[in-house]
Amino acid sequence: MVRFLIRRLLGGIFVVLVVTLAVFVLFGPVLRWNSNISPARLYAGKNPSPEQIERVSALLGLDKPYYVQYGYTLKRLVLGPSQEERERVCPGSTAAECDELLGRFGSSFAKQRSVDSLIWTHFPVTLSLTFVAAILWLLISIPIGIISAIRPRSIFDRVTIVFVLIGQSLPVYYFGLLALYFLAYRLGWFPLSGYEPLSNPGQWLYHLLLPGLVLALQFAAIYVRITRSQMLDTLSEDYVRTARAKGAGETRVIVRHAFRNAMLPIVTMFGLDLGLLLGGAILIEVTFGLQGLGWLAVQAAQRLDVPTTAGIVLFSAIIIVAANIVVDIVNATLDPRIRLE
Amino acid sequence: MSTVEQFEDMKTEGMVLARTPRQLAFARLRRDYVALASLVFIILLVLFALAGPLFESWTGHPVNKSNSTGVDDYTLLPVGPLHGCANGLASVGERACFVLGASNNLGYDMLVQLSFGARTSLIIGIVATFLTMVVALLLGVIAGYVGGWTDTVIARLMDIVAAFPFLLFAIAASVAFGASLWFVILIIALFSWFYPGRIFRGEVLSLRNREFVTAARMLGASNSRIVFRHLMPQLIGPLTVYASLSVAGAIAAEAALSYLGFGLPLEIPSWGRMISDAVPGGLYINAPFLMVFPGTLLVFTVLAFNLLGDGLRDALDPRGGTIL
Repeated sequence: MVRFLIRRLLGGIFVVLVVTLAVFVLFGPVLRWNSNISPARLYAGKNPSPEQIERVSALLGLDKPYYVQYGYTLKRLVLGPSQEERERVCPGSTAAECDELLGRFGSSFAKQRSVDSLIWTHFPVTLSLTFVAAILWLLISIPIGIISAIRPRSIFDRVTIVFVLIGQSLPVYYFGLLALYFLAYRLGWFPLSGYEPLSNPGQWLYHLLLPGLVLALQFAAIYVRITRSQMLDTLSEDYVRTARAKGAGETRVIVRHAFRNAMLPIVTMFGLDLGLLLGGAILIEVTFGLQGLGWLAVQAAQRLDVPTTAGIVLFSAIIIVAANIVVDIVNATLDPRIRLE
Repeated sequence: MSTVEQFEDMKTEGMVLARTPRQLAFARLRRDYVALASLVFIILLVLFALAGPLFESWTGHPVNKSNSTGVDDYTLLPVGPLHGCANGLASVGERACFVLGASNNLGYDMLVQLSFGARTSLIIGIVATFLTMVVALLLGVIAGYVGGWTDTVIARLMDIVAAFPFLLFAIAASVAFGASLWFVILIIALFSWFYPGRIFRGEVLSLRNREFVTAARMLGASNSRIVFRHLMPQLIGPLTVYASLSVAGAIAAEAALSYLGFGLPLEIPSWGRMISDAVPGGLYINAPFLMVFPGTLLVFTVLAFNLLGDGLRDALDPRGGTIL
């Protein structure tokens, strides 16, 4: 088990390294070569003079060769900003003040804040949305998937198939706009946009219910499909027949014997999807005006706020890798055969 | 007389006629009304996209051109469907009728924009799918056939790409590379090849130790002959299925990027951007048709390619599951 963990962990670190390199190349050489925009010019503000750009360039360490910059970026990501950079970027301020300005992911161009603090301000919104959506989609999809599998080719099953197909082809933002128009505007059941912090649980849920539901229905389509096909597979297994032969009740057969064994791929997918969503449910957040990580990424990219965009990509890559590792551990615990691979 | 009719004839005479797998597949596809309807929709969509210049000259509203008559003087909203059509559908010029209304608050003609948007979607869908399939075939076949650490490296690469957040990375990359048609096509292909690639790899893995491959090798066939003459033909089935599904995916991905305002330059019409044009200031609240026309077309297009791919899968491999 320990060897298995170490191997997965090393694999994860390698993926994060690949992502940092990709992001660094994208926002360093590619950006410069492609649009002649240097980060220093962006950071220096409106219509900077060449001297100002040079000064900012030195301030941010952008006058060094790329490989030095990349090495430093990595070091800062792991160890936090160095004392030398702190003194350079925020001279004469306390450590706490400087943390507000400069973090592991660097410092935002658009706002006088560290990317870290921006991420942590916006992350709770994404976390809340993911939480509400995940509960809804599991509650919707698993019962439907099981019932469909118990009665294949019934009317219920056929109606489900149609909904799954539509759910898979309906762009989530268009679905969101339709929901906003009909349910929020015409019927007035939900607010049109915005987010309320968890300190007011009622309002929190009220504002997240519609976006959560829209997101959930899209995922539910996929989960119904997986649950149904997994259940169909396990229901035809020998051990299910054996259980029936021993006189187990139908509910017991379905829940204890079939569903338990059908769960593994669902757990896997659930973990990976959670990771993906926590990195920013971009389309839903933008459509519903929820100021989460995805929304922040779009805002930052529109303003050419390079460190913030890069920071969010990295952050979400780390979350996804972590989700992958957790899923591997959970799978290995649930199914001991996996470790032998 | 087609082979199927021939077959029907022979059947009435009480004879049995052997049919090739391809004939069987076509026969099955002919009975799949959902897949046929999807195919008809796609053909109509292609015609609709080709008719762009016709719509331009017929309405007198060039693509990407603002028309003062397309915006209501009092409400400042884009005009609705059939605006100015009282004097007949084909009244030309500035006074011409807006059959489907205007598409944004600059007074672009919805019909014309939709038609040129269809071109964009189809071009991106087809070119990105072509690239996706080339890469997927190449890497999938190499991984499956060569095996060993080559396989390990390629399989890991597939895992990494699969775990990447596509939209987030595409947005970041579009900041660095700037907006262009090729950028959108390449970024979509870059993030889509892994799925068909895994399928092709799996197919080749299961085929390479089969008797017919061993037999070919025993007869002295070279690796390239085995791959191209014996393995590749077996992949045509999955290739057509995943090509169709991949077109749907690429069209949806482009629309999502354009909805967020990244990827395509403004002069290329896009359904995704048309939907996003309805958002600022809650325009869609007062004029829902702004999002409903491009949105519905997008849904049906993605659905049609998905259903066609599904129908193809059923036709080519009746043992395999359907979409469910």
